[in-house]
Amino acid sequence: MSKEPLIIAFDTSCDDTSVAVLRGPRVLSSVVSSQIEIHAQWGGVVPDIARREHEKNIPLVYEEALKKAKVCIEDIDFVACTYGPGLAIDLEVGLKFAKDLAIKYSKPFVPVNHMEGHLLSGLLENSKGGGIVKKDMEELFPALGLLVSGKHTELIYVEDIGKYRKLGETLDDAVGEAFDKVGRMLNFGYPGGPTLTEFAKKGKKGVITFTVPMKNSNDLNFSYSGIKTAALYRTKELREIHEKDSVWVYDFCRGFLDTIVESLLIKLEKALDMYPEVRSVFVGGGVFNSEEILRRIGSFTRENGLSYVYSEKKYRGDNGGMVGLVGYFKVLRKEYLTKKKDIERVDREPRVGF
Amino acid sequence: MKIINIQNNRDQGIHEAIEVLRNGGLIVYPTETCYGLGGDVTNPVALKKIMEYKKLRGSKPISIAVSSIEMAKEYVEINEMAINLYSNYLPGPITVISKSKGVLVPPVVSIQGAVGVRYPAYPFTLELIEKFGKPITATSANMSYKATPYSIDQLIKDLPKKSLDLIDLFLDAGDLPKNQPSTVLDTTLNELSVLRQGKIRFEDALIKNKKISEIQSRSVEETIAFGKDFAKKYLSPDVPCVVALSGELGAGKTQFAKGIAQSLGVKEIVNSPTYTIINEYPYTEKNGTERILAHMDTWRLAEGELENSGLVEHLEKGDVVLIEWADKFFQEIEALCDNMNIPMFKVVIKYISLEERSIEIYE
Repeated sequence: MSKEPLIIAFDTSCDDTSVAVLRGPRVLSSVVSSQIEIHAQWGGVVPDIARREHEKNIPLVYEEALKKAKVCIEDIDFVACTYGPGLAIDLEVGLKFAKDLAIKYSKPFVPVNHMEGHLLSGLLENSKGGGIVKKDMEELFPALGLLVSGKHTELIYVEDIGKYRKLGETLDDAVGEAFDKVGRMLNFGYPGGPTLTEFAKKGKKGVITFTVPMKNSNDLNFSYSGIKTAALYRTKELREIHEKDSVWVYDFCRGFLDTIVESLLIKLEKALDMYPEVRSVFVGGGVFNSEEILRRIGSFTRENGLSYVYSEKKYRGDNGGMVGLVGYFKVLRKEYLTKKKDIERVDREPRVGF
Repeated sequence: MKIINIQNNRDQGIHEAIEVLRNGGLIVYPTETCYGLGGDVTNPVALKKIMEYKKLRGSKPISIAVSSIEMAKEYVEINEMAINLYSNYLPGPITVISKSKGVLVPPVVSIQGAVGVRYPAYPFTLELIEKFGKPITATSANMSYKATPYSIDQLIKDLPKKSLDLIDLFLDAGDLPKNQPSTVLDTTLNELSVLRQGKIRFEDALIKNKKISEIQSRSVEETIAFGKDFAKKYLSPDVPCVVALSGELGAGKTQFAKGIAQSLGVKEIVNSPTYTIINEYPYTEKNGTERILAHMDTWRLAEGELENSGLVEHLEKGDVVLIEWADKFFQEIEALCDNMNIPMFKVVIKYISLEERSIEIYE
């Protein structure tokens, strides 16, 4: 192939239906159901109806993605789709649509692990056409991956693209979940997490503190259910003393955010001690939409003399672009299916990991 | 088009702005975030002009600006969560989404019947809205996809003549500090009142059912161990059943579920299903049969979403299903179990102290 392959990628593992079109590692279009105009809401928050209606959304999002990329389905070289992890019933919708498409138009099919998408999202070429070029890419490995979202909090050892080993994960709640649930205790509404990080900007450091979870555990796992309980008790205490939440809430958010960042840094540091050969840190997942969290993990990484690999904001949450990118790397390794019966056999794997 | 410098001519600004609004015209007004585009939210002529001005907006709804919680209450349902936001953080740079009372029409209401309400922390604008007596639209005064407007001079430079002609009055307060746009908070999901209703139904059901076990747990480890004991005693590996778990945030529902999973022979780490909605764990029965444990959480599910969650499919397959926040959808879950003749255990976990919990199990 003289030209980079044209890939269409589907993701229905979460609330949103996402479809992207890529030319090699560059995204030509990336459409997410909650952002397309038929369902567009304030600031991307989608109440009730449009959430998780993949069956209704997918043909619309698919058309929109092709249109925005200014290509038609016949031009596409490969069809990529998330097969897990996620909610089984949601994954099935995307897989069926993508598999049918691949078979109907005789395109090779690339099954993709959604988490690998988050992990590699920082390798997407940015919209200005820049990004990490292949020559530099070799210098990034081995790497550590830190994935932090509403569903996941994981540390991954990345020997190379396609070669992964899970080092640690959350034993209970994910970080994004803890943020949203504590936001809920503070009566912020849904999603509370972004508000919590926003309010933290106005708070004073060290006024309200929490115990850093798993500080002394000897492994690389995380845990956030304990801090959730501690936060609940703290809100009850504070509400008994103060009439208005606004008196303490900003310092509370500051303390909570700092504790979470600290818990991530402790495990990252431990992992770097255990694997000194690591040359870079990759981050991904919706929690990195918080610029502060992104920056603080980044400073730590750079202080340790390592490269820091993260994506543009629009590819940090769930999106089709990252799925397409993984598809692209798999295409380069010739890991795709061409026979109809092999494509048909691809099944969802709701619990697939690294 | 007219510009009034409100720093010198405050009263004139308010007076003329009200005239414009009453006649279905548009104004550009200052807020603590940026310059906003205002029109009478109840006047179709004004709304039409706004849509024409913003362009390329599709059906994205336009927020409204009010001058008090009382004014907001005339147009939207203010639930407990919204009251908390209004009393603690407003006026301020937050947009609160609430259910419409049906007075307003699109584009100031979403297709789902919700309205975004701003209560700006800008005294001049609050006085203007108060004197006008009705909400005005709260959308940034730039055209869609153009830079956020912090100065009238800049805004006028950026605007094509056609758009400029749609605006009757600019209320110029000079250069505004470059604050971020408002934070958007949705108060329509997981309403406290809905949770509370579900809880009452759940507790009613408990009264009619037999309590089979009760214990005080002093630690997370004990909660897990209690989950294990429960599974050993009451769950038969070949009989489908539902374990409905109820308890506040952080009470230990997931910990109890961990115990059940360990007892059944699940090898993986069992973590919270809140965001996935259902986690599936394979395990092997003693006789070698491969089975699935489904671990579910309804916390993020909105009304009507339970049926599309995959729960029914798991019940049909005869899996053991653990459901956190089961009280939220108790009626629906109970009906499913009754229809399919599937036994349901109810587990209630309550806080005694930071570490201790009471755990009650009902048949």
